[in-house]
Amino acid sequence: MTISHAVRRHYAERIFAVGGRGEVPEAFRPLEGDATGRSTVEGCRGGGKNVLEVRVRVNDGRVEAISMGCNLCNPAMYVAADILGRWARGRAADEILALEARSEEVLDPWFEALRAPERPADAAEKFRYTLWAVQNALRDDRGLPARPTPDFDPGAPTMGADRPSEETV
Amino acid sequence: MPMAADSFDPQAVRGDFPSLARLRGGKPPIYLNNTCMTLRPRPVIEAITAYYAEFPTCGGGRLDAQGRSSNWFQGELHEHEVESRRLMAELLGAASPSEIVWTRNATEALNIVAHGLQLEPGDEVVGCVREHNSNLVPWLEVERELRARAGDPELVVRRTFDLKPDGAFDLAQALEAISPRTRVLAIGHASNLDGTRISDEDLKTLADRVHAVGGVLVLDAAQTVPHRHVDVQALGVDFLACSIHKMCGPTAMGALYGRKESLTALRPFIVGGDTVSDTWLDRVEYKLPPGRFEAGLQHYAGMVGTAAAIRYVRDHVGFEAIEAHERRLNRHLTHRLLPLLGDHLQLLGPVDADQRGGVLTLASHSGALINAIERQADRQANVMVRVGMFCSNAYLHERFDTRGSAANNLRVSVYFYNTLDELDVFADVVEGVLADPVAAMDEGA
Repeated sequence: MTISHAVRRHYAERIFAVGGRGEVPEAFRPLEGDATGRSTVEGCRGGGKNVLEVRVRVNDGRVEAISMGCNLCNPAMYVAADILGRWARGRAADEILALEARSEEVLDPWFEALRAPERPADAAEKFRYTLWAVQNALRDDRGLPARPTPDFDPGAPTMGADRPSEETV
Repeated sequence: MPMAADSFDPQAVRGDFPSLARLRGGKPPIYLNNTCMTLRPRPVIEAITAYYAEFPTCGGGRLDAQGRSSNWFQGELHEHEVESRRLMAELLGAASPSEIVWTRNATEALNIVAHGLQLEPGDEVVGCVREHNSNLVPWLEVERELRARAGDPELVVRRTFDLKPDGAFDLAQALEAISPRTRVLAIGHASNLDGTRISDEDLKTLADRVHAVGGVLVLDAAQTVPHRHVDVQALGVDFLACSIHKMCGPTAMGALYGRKESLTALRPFIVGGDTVSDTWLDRVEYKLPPGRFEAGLQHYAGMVGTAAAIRYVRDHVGFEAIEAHERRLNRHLTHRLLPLLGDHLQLLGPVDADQRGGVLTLASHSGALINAIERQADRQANVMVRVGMFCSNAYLHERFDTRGSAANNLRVSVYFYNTLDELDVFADVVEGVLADPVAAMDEGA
């Protein structure tokens, strides 16, 4: 999939350039202190790359800290991890767990952060994978098993926001 | 007669490798993933084929043909088995062929040792912070078992020593980690991550120290046996593990060397058919080494191919030529890439190419950049390299999690059939990607 203009812009300005100065964007810094939940997601089918690692620390029902690790990820996965990492921090775990990764509406705040009203498909796919990984990390925090990752094929019809969650957490 | 080191020309051997004659898009392959597995020359392929075409039967003769009848095909296979083991023993400087155990790879060899030593709570295993998973995980399992037996989850079993800041081996730190409780010093001879190697002098010093406290030296030599002369007796090695598929040999073929008394003291790890001289319903009598460690029918084609690989690498090309050529190649690639390194791309290990054997690993904060280089190298020029953590996860996590991921690395590893021109092609790719890195990141999965 070709990288969209919005992803390329965000990645170049807010991730690659920062890394080039010898720093790491906040979302990718190691977690300070211990994680209470962790998960990984492979953001492409059958590739063996693009593996995002998520570590969270939940305190008093909220995401106190979150750290993303991009293992040989493509720019869209980096961008999704960066945006969701910042979005999740301080948010209630229940709120995040209640989100339906296949819905269109769930993507709204992240496309806004991406400054991409055209809602590019590469970002949409990786947003969904990243949300799935964050949710699995929060499930891990609660001692629940990770849910198997579905295919978030950008070419497939949207399932709709009203689709019920596969499990209640 | 081995080739001369100072005038070695890879063109003299490239014709022996059928895979190098292939073309994709009108271009030949450039294979730079030799640390993982090497290509095979025609004599090895022919030897493997000969087994299947001429005497494709079960062996099990070991050194003495014990346990199986000897018919026409088995007789021929037996000769090859004996010769192959003799050559392997000779290659490593073993005192006897009976000190050689065939395995699938170095990993299996290290597992045989770790699980066979029968350590007790209170015994300690020393290794460095950068051991390959094959020389880490088996010992972690030993640690887990001993802690369970002792009922002490904090029991110290493994002690690790650090390296110099640039990744080079540090004898002082290694010696400091060895104590009267040390029963095993299990270390990698050369790193598959950055190519750094323990010198013969340092290794001998370590062997003397660990022997002085009653321990054994277990050497993971997967990255040295294919590239240089390794003499287990001269170095004082008790156990050595290596993989034949890293030296032009058949896939899934490895060897464990064990000094006779050390090997005899090991408890067999995988047992069953062919490991025993006799069984009853309530007891078993194991064969003497090496038979007791080679369970079930074996990779006979691999044994035949191993003999051909040893003859080709050691006798036809020669280790002096191999070492000298790899040094030339790495110096050249390092010279080409050093000016390109900076914030986005760094070199793992010492800057001095002579300290890195045939390995050059690039690291980045950006997995997308590493992906782009790998992808462009493959698509533009058929260059095959490797990306990831190369089974050195623990070390990379320790050192590089702070940059956002420890997995964003790309390794180039050469062997004697590689050329300076091939490395120029790869360097050109890196140069092109770095000219506009984000533009080069298209089409990521």
